[in-house]
Amino acid sequence: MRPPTVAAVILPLLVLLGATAWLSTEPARELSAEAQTNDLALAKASPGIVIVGNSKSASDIDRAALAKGLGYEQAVANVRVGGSSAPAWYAMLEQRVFGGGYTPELVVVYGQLAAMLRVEADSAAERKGMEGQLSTPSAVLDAKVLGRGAGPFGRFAASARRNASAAHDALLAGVRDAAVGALLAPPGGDGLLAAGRSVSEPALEATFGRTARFRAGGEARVVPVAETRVSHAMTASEGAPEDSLVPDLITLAEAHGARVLFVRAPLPMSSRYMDTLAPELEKGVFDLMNRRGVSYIDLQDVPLPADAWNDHLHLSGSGRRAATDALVAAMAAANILEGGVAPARPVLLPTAVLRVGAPPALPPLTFAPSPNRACGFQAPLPDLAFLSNDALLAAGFGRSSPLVLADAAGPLTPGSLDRALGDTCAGAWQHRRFGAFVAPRAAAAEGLTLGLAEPTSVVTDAKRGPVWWVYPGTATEWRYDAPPGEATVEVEVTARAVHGGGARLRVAGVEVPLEPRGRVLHATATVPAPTGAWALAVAADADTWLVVDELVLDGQRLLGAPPVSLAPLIRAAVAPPDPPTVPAATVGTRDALTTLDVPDYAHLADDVLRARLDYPCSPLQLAAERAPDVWVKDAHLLATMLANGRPGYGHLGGTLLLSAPGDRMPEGPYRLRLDPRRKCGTSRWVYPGDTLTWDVVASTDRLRLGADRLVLTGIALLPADDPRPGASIHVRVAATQGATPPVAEGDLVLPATGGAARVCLPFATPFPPGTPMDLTLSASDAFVVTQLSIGESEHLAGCDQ
Amino acid sequence: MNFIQIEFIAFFAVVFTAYWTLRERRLQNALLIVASAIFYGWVHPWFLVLLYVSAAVDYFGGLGIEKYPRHKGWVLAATLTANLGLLGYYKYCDFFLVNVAAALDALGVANSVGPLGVLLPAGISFYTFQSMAYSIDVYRGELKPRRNLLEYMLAVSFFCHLVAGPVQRASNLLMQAETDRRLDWAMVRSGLALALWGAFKKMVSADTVAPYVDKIYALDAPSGPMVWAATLGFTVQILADFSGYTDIARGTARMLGWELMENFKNPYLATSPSDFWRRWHISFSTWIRDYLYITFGGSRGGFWRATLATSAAMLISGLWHGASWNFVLWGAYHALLLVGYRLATPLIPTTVRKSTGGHVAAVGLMFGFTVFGWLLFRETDVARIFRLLHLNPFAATPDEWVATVVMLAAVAFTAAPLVIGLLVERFVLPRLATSAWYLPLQTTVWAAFVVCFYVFVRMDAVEFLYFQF
Repeated sequence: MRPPTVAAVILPLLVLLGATAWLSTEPARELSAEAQTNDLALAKASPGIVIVGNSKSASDIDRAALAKGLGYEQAVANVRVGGSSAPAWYAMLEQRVFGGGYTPELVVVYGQLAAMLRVEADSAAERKGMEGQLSTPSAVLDAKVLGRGAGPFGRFAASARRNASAAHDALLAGVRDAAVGALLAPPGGDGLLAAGRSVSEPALEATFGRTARFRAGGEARVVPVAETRVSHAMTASEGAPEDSLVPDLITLAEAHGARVLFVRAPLPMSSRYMDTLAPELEKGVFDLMNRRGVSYIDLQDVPLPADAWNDHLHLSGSGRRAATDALVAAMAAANILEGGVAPARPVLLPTAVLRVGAPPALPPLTFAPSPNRACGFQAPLPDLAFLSNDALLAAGFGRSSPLVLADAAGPLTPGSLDRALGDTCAGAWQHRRFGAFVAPRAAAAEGLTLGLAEPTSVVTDAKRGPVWWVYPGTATEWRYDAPPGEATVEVEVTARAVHGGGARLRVAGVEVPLEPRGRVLHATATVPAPTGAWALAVAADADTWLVVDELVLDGQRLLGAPPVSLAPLIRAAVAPPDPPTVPAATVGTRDALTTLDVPDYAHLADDVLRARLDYPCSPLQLAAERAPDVWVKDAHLLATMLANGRPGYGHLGGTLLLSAPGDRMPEGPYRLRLDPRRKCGTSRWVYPGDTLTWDVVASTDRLRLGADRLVLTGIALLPADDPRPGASIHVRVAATQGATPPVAEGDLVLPATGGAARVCLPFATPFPPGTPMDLTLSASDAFVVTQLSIGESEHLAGCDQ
Repeated sequence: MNFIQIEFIAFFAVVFTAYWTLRERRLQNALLIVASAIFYGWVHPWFLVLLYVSAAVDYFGGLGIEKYPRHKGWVLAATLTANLGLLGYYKYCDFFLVNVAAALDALGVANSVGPLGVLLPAGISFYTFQSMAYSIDVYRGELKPRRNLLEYMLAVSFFCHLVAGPVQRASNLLMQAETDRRLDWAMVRSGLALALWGAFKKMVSADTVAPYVDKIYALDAPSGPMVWAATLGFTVQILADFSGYTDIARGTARMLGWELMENFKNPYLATSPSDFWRRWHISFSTWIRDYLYITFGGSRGGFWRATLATSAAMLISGLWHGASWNFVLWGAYHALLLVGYRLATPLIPTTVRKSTGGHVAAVGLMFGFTVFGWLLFRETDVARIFRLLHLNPFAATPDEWVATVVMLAAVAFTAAPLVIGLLVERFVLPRLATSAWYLPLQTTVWAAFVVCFYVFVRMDAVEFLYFQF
């Protein structure tokens, strides 16, 4: 064979082989700052107990108190990734804890139960949080979270995609930065590309906003080797616990001689929806844990003090103390450190849920043609106006009417908009207050029948999910074929009567009437545990149409979990005013630190806020130029930053302390400002002179019962020489709809010392469901508002005032 | 299915192998008909019905023209009506209704006129024009009507050119459908080279510059420099995309022993509008010339007749590209250019025109006019077109100048392969083609292309631009 012919085969093969070798190279991994922090935490002392989780694992548990309470002499360490769930926890455990050579005897997985079951890392932040903990690829995470094939081929495919994406992006970014660097960047010593990048990225973000990144690459590749399967989701109602990372966490710990304790973290009532699982899924998880012989402790129902919460997720100092005490007690009771097991509570699932009794007969319909409509008919329904679409929506029940209008072909589409009715024979109908309007399929009203949702009385509203009706004179019964494990059975029910008001709770033959409690009907029954098969039921009187909102059996929610609502309650209506200006600071030095004296803001220092809120969030900022601000602010980390040569600064007393290697100290004069975003962790600053206004989103499910109070949690910050014990913040809540829109207004006093206090503003006139509101906070002193809730008193508990 | 989907590679490999295994032309034709049906019906099988209906109308129309010479005009009218009816309904119905509703609203007439939401079948503009060309050629006596329905169907539905051209002349394809083919490895190699080059242009140039162009055009208030930089980017994108598609089509057809007509000849080196249309989408522009411009009188009836014919032909060309007024505006613009050059050219001394400097200036000027036209083509909102044209092309904030430079860098990066390709084609290949080392160089470049495909391909790959027509 002639050389050119040989070369025609060999040369392209060499090209392809070279490319394959390059593509298969495992990309360099860079540990995140959180991973480095975790490594430091582990290195301080070889821990005997490691708590792994998200930020709640640090805010909720006092490690020193835990060790002291248990009489444990070895160190207790915490490794965490903020905002993370099981994928990052597994990464930390595999690579930071065991991969770092540590051999704790107990691993505590702390967090929300839903977070323990997640196998997703689909947001950039979650992905980064997980991958930032990995020094090497993780076979378990590759398979379960990233959907990458197992084995050499799967790993090659994953590496190839990453390397190709990185090359693509680097090439395009290089072209971009080289052009900008050559033509527009100021001369500098960082090199053409760095100079170009420092100009191009901010300019593109300013021009294009969030879509600034010209990323034409990406992880997935249109090639046959493998497509990235975006990991499957385990939602609160689907998936098998075996598919989660729970068994892998257990296996990993056991392989390194450690026992596992899963601790479900507490959440405030208003955030419980984030951690609500279907009973079947809970049962599956708990059965799995019990089969594997691991311990489970639930802190959800631990009694917490009034000021237990810093925000909608994290415990305050007093809350942490209570949670830690509860955990110590539970661990001690089960002898966990001695090898005992605290099994997960058994979940009792009903064998059947069915309706008992016949629903009432509905009045016959007499249809007349609708005027000016080609295919419309109407019929009065005077006795059922309370079940009309309008009435149910106004009462906060959503589109959940149990009425069904049907013809020979089946049910007509309910609740249709006007456009569908009357002009086309669309097979749709609408129930208004004054009657039924229908556009039947057959262009005639004969043969239409009105009935109730059958065979179950559960009507699903698209936004709210299932709505459990109990028809007049009937009962919905949950049947169990096994007795509960406890000596007594406690059942709690909350319901609302759409019409009438008589209802009863029956538990194993014991009947308890539902009593009015605010806007709802409520009953609790505690009965001796039955033997053998038994049932519980909610029954409605002959004139009562009932919707069961919540049914809880021995702490386990059977139905009516707070609907998942991720919509924020409030959103800023107008841009907040400019914060007060900060006078220029006096610059000095102290040891190896540069100091800026800010005596007027000593009361806002990190140490003050740590003492009162457990975390620093001084509003003072070193104003950053267009380049990203690399200055980390936390006074207590200054020593570490100094040792590591990382730039940072903290606010202690009336002084800002700046640490940086000499060549990275920003040149003066220093520009200081108050954070215009007013962020304080997940809380908010209210500065003196502020008037902040928000819209309250009335459609959120948290306001489905309307609102009768505002609860505000926070602290007032006053200068040390201010003698007042507290300061007041003015609150105004004004409805923006209605003939006479109600207004609630008042001054709430927050203490100037101690932790956050919870104060209430009751509304003289309750706001009906679905009322949009304007909320205004105005202050003449400085405050931190850690939590703000508006809603029905049934869902907001505990006010100091 | 489209050419840059992974399914197509597998599909074509199977078709190629089976095709050359079957030696008999009839069997090969049958295989291609089946393969074309699979290719075209991949996403929407019912699109095949329209395709076959259109083909059948003209097939039987051709026979009817021959059988009823006295009524051939009516037969032709019927076939054209059927084809234009299909095209009119699926492509222009909603456009028409929206404009009627707007007109009625403007007149204050209450109405409930609204779009029907008709789905546009891919390639309908191409195959209806192809079918109509057959009928017209038979009517004119330039082509004998075919009596082999399968060969005719193949000529219309051949998957290589079906979805986005080139708009083949019936005579060309029918002749090839009726001719035996033999496996020629040199032809296969040539076809593969052409297809790979086309894929490279599409995936590396067009798809890389596209998101930059899209981002700028998506802004509510871009600055003038950004708009023109993005339009320059679109200039690269549309050439790389469309010529890339054509090269893939021609390359794959060549590998099967078919030769499709060339569709692009360095259009941005044109010296005049008429030269541009001899280089850009050649199959379409020649169709317009032969079946519209000449029918409308062409240049035979004097200046005004020629102007009217040019205008009508270019307006229809514009409208063919899309059911939107900006395309009509674009067609009108090119009509204006053609007429304007016709008037202005005699005023320029011949010595200037034929000089090197004059040639370069002509190319530069025509390129500028072309880029301007692409703005009309890219922006579908006519009101916004005029707003963009009013922008000062030199006024921008510092951040916007940075964005402009970034866009221009992307243009340079993505245009470079096209320029290199042109230089290689002109100066390198003629020298290398006879060298023994041409083959290893070629296969090595192919391997490098494959690596580039993997690096540059996007999960959200941009559809071929001309698919929307």
